Order: sequence, then structure tokens, then C-alpha cells
Amino acid sequence: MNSHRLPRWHPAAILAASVAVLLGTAAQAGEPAVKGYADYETYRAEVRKIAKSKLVKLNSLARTAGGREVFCLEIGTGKTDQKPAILVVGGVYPPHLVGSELAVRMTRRLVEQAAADKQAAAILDRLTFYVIPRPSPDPCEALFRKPYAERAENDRPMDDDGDGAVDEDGPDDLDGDGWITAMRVEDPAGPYMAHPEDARALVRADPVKNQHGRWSVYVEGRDNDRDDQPNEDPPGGTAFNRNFTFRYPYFQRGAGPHQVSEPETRAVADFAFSHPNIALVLTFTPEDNLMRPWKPNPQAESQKAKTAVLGGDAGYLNYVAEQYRQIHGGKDAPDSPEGQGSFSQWAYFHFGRWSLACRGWWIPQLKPEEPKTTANKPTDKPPPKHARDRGDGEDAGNGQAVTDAKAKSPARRGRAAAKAPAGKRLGARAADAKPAEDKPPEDGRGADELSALRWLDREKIDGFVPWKRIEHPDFPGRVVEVGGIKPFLRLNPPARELEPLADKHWRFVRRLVELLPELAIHQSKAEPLGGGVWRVSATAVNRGYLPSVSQMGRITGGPHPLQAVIELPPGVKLVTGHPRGQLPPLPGNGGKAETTWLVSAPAGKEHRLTVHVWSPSVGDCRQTIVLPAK
Amino acid sequence: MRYSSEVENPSGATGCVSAAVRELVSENEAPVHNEAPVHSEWDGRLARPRSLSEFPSDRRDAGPTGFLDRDAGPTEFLDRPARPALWVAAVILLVVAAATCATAAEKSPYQPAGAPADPKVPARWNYYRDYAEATRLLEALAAAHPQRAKLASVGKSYGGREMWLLSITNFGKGSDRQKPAFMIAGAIHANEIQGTEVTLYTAWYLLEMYGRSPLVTRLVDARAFYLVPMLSPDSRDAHMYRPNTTSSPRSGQVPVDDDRDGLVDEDGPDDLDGDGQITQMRVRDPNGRWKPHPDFPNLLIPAKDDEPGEYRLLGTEGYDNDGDGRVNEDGDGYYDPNRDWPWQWEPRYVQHGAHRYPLSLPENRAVADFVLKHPNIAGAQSYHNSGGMILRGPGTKDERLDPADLAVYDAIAKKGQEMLPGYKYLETATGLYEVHGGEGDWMFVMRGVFRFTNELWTPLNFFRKPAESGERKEEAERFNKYLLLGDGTVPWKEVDHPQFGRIEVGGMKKNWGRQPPSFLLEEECHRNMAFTLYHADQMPQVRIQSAAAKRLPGGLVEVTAAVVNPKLTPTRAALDVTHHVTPPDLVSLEGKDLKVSLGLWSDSPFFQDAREQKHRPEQVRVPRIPGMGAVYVRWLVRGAGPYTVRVQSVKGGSDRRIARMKDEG
Repeated sequence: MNSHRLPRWHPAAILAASVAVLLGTAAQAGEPAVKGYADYETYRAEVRKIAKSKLVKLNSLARTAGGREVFCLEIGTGKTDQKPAILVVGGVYPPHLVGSELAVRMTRRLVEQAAADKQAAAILDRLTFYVIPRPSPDPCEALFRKPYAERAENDRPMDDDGDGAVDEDGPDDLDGDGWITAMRVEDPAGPYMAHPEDARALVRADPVKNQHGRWSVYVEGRDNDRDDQPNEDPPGGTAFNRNFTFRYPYFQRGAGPHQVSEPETRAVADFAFSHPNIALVLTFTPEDNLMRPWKPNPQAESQKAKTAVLGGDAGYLNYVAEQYRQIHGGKDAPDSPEGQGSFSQWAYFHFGRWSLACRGWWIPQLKPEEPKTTANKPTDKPPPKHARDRGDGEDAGNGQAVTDAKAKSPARRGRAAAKAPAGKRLGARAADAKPAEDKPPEDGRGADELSALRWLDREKIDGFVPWKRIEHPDFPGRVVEVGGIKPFLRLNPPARELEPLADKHWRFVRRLVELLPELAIHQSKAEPLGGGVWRVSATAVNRGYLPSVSQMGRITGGPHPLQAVIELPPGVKLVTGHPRGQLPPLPGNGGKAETTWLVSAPAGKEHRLTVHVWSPSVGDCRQTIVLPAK
Repeated sequence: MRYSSEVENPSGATGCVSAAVRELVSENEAPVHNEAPVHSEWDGRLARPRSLSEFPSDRRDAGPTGFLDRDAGPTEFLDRPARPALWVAAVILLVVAAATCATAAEKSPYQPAGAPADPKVPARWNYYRDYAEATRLLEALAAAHPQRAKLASVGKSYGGREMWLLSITNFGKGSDRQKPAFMIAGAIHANEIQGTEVTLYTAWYLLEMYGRSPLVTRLVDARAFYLVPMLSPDSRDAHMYRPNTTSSPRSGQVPVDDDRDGLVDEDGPDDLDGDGQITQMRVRDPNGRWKPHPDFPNLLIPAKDDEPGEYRLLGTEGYDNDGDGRVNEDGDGYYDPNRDWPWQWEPRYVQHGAHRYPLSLPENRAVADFVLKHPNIAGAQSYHNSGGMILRGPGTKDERLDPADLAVYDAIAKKGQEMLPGYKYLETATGLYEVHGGEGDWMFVMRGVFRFTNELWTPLNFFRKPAESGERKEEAERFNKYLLLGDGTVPWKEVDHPQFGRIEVGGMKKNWGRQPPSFLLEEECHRNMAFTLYHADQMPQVRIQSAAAKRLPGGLVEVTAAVVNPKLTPTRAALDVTHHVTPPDLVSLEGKDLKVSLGLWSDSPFFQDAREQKHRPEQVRVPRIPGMGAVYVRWLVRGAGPYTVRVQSVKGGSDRRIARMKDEG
């Protein structure tokens, strides 16, 4: 979300907003926006209930600083850790509660159907599922107790601004409405102005077009420690989704003291590494790559450290993404955040697995003249960057613009040198530098925000806090107004959408399962060469769609290679060849590889040899080869 | 008896003492439970896990030298049945021994320059201690010098050994946390064993020379030292007690399935001839390209381009344990503990030796947690081998140091090159090789600590003259022949190899190649220690040079202070300031009922380009006090004195002074 654009207050607008608020309040008493979503206690109860099935094993991987468990559900039959597995992770960005919900509800469907339906049960014969619906449970609770705030950081106290004090300056609910939204301060030099089409929204003024800014915008709060930086050291902590090793945002707020520093991240990373049978990772997160697939970068591919999806993998990921788009049916998905330090990118680039990531839901784009229908046709121009990148790779949700705070704060964020002379200063990583978003989109300025407001109006959701003047002690005598779209609502649908969404995503998982590699031993034979010597050969084939390993997986060396082992009965000896060896990766849809051994077997009796081909993340096959007596 | 004999006894005798002095420092805040086992592999076939008990830990010191032996006398005689002549002899001996004791107690021994001849804790510096012996020495030091030494464990290694950390400072003159601290760590690569001895030597020297050496006394009073002799204790014992080369194990002992075949650590080197060494394998082969050196028959050299060879080299001693055709492809670990640190960490395919993610190794994690909790660490040193180098970052080629920080490194290292002949001062990335995830770079960039890595043992030690580059091997062989009397190598001899048949094994022993022989170890310890003491002395030390108060018209008082740091190292590196690693230095004005209306600071004594701090001017936040530099702070205050100026710097210490009232006009 790159700007706030708010209208001048027209009386009609005030009336309309008030009516909307009243209707909204009346419709959902208590905590309107979060109703229907699970807080930690509810979530824990749900997970325990699912775990009652004998198809499910419930593990706790860690306990967070806030004392909450990181649950992992293992769904499968038989030797679950010896079958290829899909790792499903929700809630990596805690305010994206829909991610956690989808993971739980999808698991429920899997378990119920596998118990009732033979086809679904067959999935579990072949595969195992590991589901971590809520890897960072601490910050989610900020949406279940007032003041509701969009918080990504866990409960570990941390001195974010390096001033020696810890968590001393967080947001404050200045207008007492129970929500942390935004505040705007009247400022003739401020960069924002009200959007001409909807005064609730703010948009950056373009001085070249002779537009005058009027507002500076901050997160709602006071500068509690009076260091000229408001709200720069909120409670917590480290954000789970910025704590991973790929393009780790060094020194940025929320990234933690270093990579994988938190019990939650360490537990999830260790779980992944100690389960080499994981073939694919599906994440529910704003860093979507299914609606907006990753694009390869041929120039970058020649670098040693890979930073863009490899050309050899992009095609496969695109095909899978196409399946998703067909099933989901949504359009005009927002741009994905940069995702520095994010889990889903780590899963592909460092963990070396196929990595699919989706938001699950977003506010549909609504044109002004079509209030009743979801925008089905794509807009003429690509939508402006929806996810406001604060230079630290995180979706700022309701667009709490911290641009001014960022501009003022001496380089706590995005410090990665914009001004590097030849050779960067030590400590700067130019590859990660994201200069402040300065150019406003042309005519589409603020289109996202307007669309969101329209949608909230249409759905009669009390989602917008009208700008209201308050007395702000840090700005004595100046006009300060609090308002904005409530956090949570940009990312999470009304609760009634959750079941239909879960259905869609479950359908996608069933389709996905059909696309995984399928290992078989296609042909095996034994040719007598005379003198009791036989040439024994076996061909392994991959009948599935996806290759047995991604190109990135091959490079990282994460997934185990395919192995072929021959098991010889007593009396039969190997003449040449080793009893065990590795096979090359197998492309999908028929990729094959043959291994050969020369054995000598005493004549006069039958011998039964076994060829065993397997890789934990691909499959496991055995075939018996008979050397006849004659 | 003057001397503690604790070093002599097996761990039982020191147990009660160690319990008293040992304090366990907790590592992580949140305990992790139900954690998936680190090393579980897909088909359950694990290598046999190695336990602590496999490494014999009751080796004893050969014995101290000096007075202890002579003082052992009297008690023996009292136990024997007496006969008159023997009685007389016994009494005479008793008197003489007592006299010797008495005079010994009064007479100071002749001290050589250097280390004391009569330390409280006797110690030899011509051999290498295993984990248990190193532990005993640490315990003895802590027990003998409780006012200045505290032994603690920061956590456990993978194999269950304690990660010892000895804190040295004069605790009577302030806690270690309030003083600038210097951290020394040895042998992160366990095969680089002398690093541990240098660290132990430094600890011993600081404690034993306190009160004897003014410099040591001053350092121990004003600074703190954190010494971690063994960063990889499991592999230290593995190097010593299992067949290895001088270069192994570089890794720790966490099992890793290097060849990803479902078996873990199943195919490491094998000691085919049972001599406790892993040497090289060769076989006679007219098509081989190696031949024996004419002067040193044990050494193989390449045959000339147009000359037939005699031998084929077959690699490191071992065979194919798991039947996959490869030899020794999955041994200890493998990972490099010095590629496991956060700054510029890259995964294994970019940086050979990386493990799962930064600080994924328990030993490193324990030490890193300690460093994170001790931001007062301002200087550090780590010990590796070999080659004779004094290294600093950056570790990757695309980074540069800030010139101010570079100047500090240059100044200290220049002295180092003098003290350590044969050691070259180099930048890691351009002078050695690129390192992603090295400990030193993390310490400097992310903790603001000026830190060197020394690669110990330089070829200049052989004959004190640099050899021509083509003759290094011959020089080493000559040294082995004439000074080690051949003790460094194993002559080639025949063995049977399961796959290759009849071959020969031979080559260098594991105690030769990267580490000093006994007679050169103490020198290596002392010279490197001296370098670190110079560096430690150059850590920041803030001092209020002057503080003056002047009455102004209108009832205001102007207080001006000059805060200096007369050391090479600034209170905060330029990088530290950029990345907010530590908080700014605080210069405060304190006093009863004072109302401070203005706070200014400047780099100039004339307050040119002074900067005002509007919020809480009584506590001026200064970004840093430069090395060999000063900052100047001025307040306007209302209220009666005394006006106390206080400076607090996380890495630079603190000071306090009452402002002197100047007459008006």
C-alpha cells in the first residue's frame, strides 16, 4: 500500500460513513473484524481435535517467547517419514490469519476425506503431509485484544532502535477506538494529499503536476521516548517471515539479531532439514508466486549465488501456478512483497525444494462504475504496487505508511547503501538495497486504496475509521487526525469466505498431488553372458509431471539423489559395479535412467536378486529379478 | 606445600573445587522441546553415535617441575619402621629438608624475563592438552586466583563437553561487564590445536604475572578478558585419540550425511596400518607421475614432465566402507564451524562447509549468545593455523572497510608484524580467500568488535630465513630430519587394501605440519599473547579530561567537559554507528535539583559545528569518541552544584568527575 489518500469531509460522506459504521457494528457485536477467526486458544483446540484421528500425529516443535506452542501435524499412514512429503505452512506473516485458517481447514478436509474416501486415502499411501498452520503464534494475538494492531514481531523484547531501551516506543491508540490505524499531521511540506476521487484515501502529491501535499503520515502513536522517531521501537521482537537466510535483511527492524535467531524459526528450519523426504513446500503468505509467478533472470543465473528462479524450474512452477489460477478463479492479485528473509523464498533457494506460495484471498479490484460485480476484466494498466514495501520487504497491510518516519529515522531501515562508491562500504549489501518508492504511479495512483474502500463499502464492512481530529501532545497546536483502513481487513476476508476458500485450496492440493514425481522401475532384466555371469539391469522411470528434483534442489544439494542398490542372495557375487550407486535426476513424464551390474551366480539353481531404487523425496520401488536355474 | 597440586590429580580431586567456582550461564531464553533430532535420517540407518566416554579423559600431566618435587620429601620417612642409625639419618634429613623448605619459603627464585619461574599454578607449554587436561588447568587457575578469575560454561558441545569460558579481571575493581573486554577464542577448527594452548597460556600469564608486571596488572585492573580455549572440544579429542591427519577434523562432530545416501558418517578415513595416523596411500606404478625425492626418500615429488614416474597416489588412507565406489566421502561432520556465522552467510553450494543456517551448531550458538549478552566486548582475537598471518575482514570481495576503521586495524596489525616475525598482515578476502559466514566478520560488522584472526605457525620458524617458494617442502623435510630427528613422518610401508590390493601407506604424522613441535610452542604462545595484550591495551578507555563550570549572567551556569579516548580504538566503530549495534555514548550532567536547558556536543574544543540535543539535554548522546580523540560537551543549567559529569560507553568504560567552578570574568 503506497499511500494514504483521504478526501475532504463532505457531509454526505460523513453520513454514509456513520451509517456504515452503525450497520457494521450492529451486525457484528463484540470484535467485528476478527469474528470467525481463531485466537491461539481456539486454534489449539482445533488442532487437538484434528489430531484425534489415527491418521494424525501432533508434535510441538518449540515454545515461543510468549509461551505458545508451534504445532506440527503429521498426516499419513505407515512409515510416514519414508514417503515423499508436502510441507504446508500457514501464518508465516501472522496478521495474514487467513493463511493459518486455510492450513487448518485444508488439513481437516484431508483427514476427513482420507478416512471416508478410497481415492483420498490412496493419497496417504503414497505421500505424507506435514502441516504447520501457525509457526509464529505470538503476534497473531495482537488482533484479538485491544488495541488491535497489525503486528509481525514475536514476543521477544528487543531494542529495535539501538538506544539502550527496549520496546519503549510502540504505537498508541490515540483515538481510543481499539484499533491502531494511521495518523496524519497537517504539514505544508508533507508529501500526501487527499485523493481527488475519494477523500478518505491519501495519495502522494506530485509537485511537477503542481499538486500540493498537505499531510505527513505516521502509524497511530506518540513518540514515547521523545527521540524524534515515533513508534520506532514497538513491543517485540522478531518477525518470523524476515528471519530466514535467503536475502536476509541485515539490521532491519524485525529481522532479529541474526538469521534464524528465534525458537520458532529454528524449530521450523530444523524440522525441514531433518525431513529429507519433503519434496515440496506450500506456504500461505503474501509473498505469492502462484498468481504472480517468479520470473527467471538469465543474467543473474550465471552468478554463483542464485537470486532469481532458475530457467529450468520456472516452466514447471508456472504450469503448477496455472492449475492454481484455474481452480482459484481470482483476478488482479496484488503484487507480492519483496520477501527478504521470507520463509517461502528460503524454501526454494536455500532448502532446495519446489516452493509454492499464495495469499489465498485478496480484496478484489472494483471499478467505480461497477459496484456490484467483482472486476473480471483486467485493468488496462498493471495495478500500482499494492503492497507498500517499507524497504524491508513486508506487506504493510493496511498501508500504514511509515515513509516519513523512514525518511527521518537515520537509516535504521533500508540502510543498505544507496550511496555506495566503487565497492560498497562494509556492511552494505547493494543487492538488497531498495530505494524509497518515490515515483507515484501515473493515472493509477491510489487505485488500490480506492478499490479497497469501494469494496468495504459494498460489503458493508466497517473497515474504515474516519479521519478524526485529536489533540496530539507531540504536535501541539497542529491539526492531527487519526483514521484509515483497519489492519487485518486488507489481508483477511470476512469469516464466511473461509470455508469456500478452503474448498478451493483443497481442490488445488488434490491436483498438486497428481503432479508430483512418480517413481517406478520400468524394466528390469537379466541377460546371461555365459560362465555363470549375468548382466543385470534395471531402468528407473519418473512417470509424474514434476522432475524428481528441481534444478535449484540439485544445486543446493538439499534433496537426496536417487539411489539404486542391488541386494544379492548368498552365493551371488558382484563382478563389476558397486552394490550401491546414485542415479541422475529424472525429468518428468518419462525421464529414465538405467543401472547395470555384472554378477556371477552359480549355475544349477535359481537366484532372486532385488533392485531397490529410492529417494526419500521421490519414492521407493523394489523389483525382484530372477536368474533362472537353467 | 606452597603449590596447589590440583593439576596432578584426576578429576575427582578437583571436583569439589570446580563445583564451587563453576557457574553455568544459561544460553537461550526459550527452551525448545520436541525438537526433531538433528541427525535423524530417512531410513533410520545412523552411524554409531560417539559418546563422551570414548575419549579417554584421565590422561595425567607428566608432572610439574620445580619446588614441588623437592618438597615431597619429609612424609615418606615417617612411615618406615625405624632402626637407630636410620633414625639419626632420618632426623638429619628432616632437619635439612625443613631448612630447605624454610629457606625456600624466604628466598625468591631467580626469575627469567618472560614467564614466572614460580607460578601458583605450574604449567608446561611444550605439549598439547586434551579436553580433560585443559579443563583441569582452567579449574586450577580459577581456584588459585579467585579474585581475578571466574570459570563458567556457556553451554555444551554436541558431544556433551562444556564450552569453557574463563573471565579474567580484577573483580575487586569493578565487574567485568563494566569494563572494555577482550575476547580470545582458540581452535574453532579443532585440528588447529595450538590455538588452545595460546589461549591457555594467555590466561595463565595474565593471572600469574598480575602483581609482577605493571602492564599486566594495569590491564587486568582496567579491562576484562574472556577466554574460550576450545571452540570445538569434541573434535579436539577426536583429533588426538582417533586416527587423523594434521588437517583433520576441521569439522565438529555433529553427524551429517555428506553424500546423502541415507547413511551418516559411514565412510571416513581408515587407519589401515593401525598406527594411529591417517597418512597417504600410494602404489608402485610405472604410469604414475610421482617419484621419491632424491634427498628425502619419504617425500614424493612430481616426476618431471618428460620423465616416467614410479608411484601413483591413491589418496588419504581409507577404503570404500559403504560399497558405493567412493572412498572416504562421508566422515566426521562435514561442515566448517567457521562458516556458520551470520554476516554474509551463504549456503553450502556457495560457501563450502556451511551447515544449515547461521549458528546452527551448538558450540557456536553458545558462544554467540554470550557475545550478544556482552556488548562491552571491544576487541577480539581468534587462533587458527597455519601460515603466519594476521587477518582482518572483510571476508568477501565486494565489501570495503570504512577508512577510519581501517586505520585502527592497520595501526595495531603493524605492531603485530613486528612482534610476530614471518606473519603477514592481510585482508581475508583479497589476501587469503573469500569467506562467507566467518566468525570474525560477524564479530566486527554485527557486534562492532575489532577482531583479528591469526594463522599460527610460519615456515620462518624452521631456519629463521625465508625459503625460496619452490623449496618449502624440502625445508620442512630438512627440519624434520635434523631437528625433529625424523619424528614428524611415518616411513612408507606395505599394507593390504580391500579394493586396491597391496599398496603402501606413509607420510606425515598428525602432530606435524601445522602445529609447532614442543620446543617452539611456548614461543608461539608468548608472541601471539603479546600481540593480543597490545591490542587489548588499545581498546577504548573513556576519561573525562576536564570539567569546568562557569557562572553566566541570569543565574545560568555553563558546564563544559572534554571527554577523551587516548587509545587507538574508537568507542564505536564506524560500522557500529551506521548499524546501531551499540547505543551511543552518554555524557550526562548530574546533580541535585538541576534543570538543564541546553545540551551541546562537538568534535571541536571551540564548539564549531556543535550539535544541540533538544530532548533530555542532561544526557547527551554522542555517536562515538574517536580513537586518540575527544568530544566536547557543554550544558546550560540552573541550580546549585556540585555538577557531576559522567560518561558511559558500552565498549569504552565509564568515568565521573565533578566540574570545577571557575571564577567569573
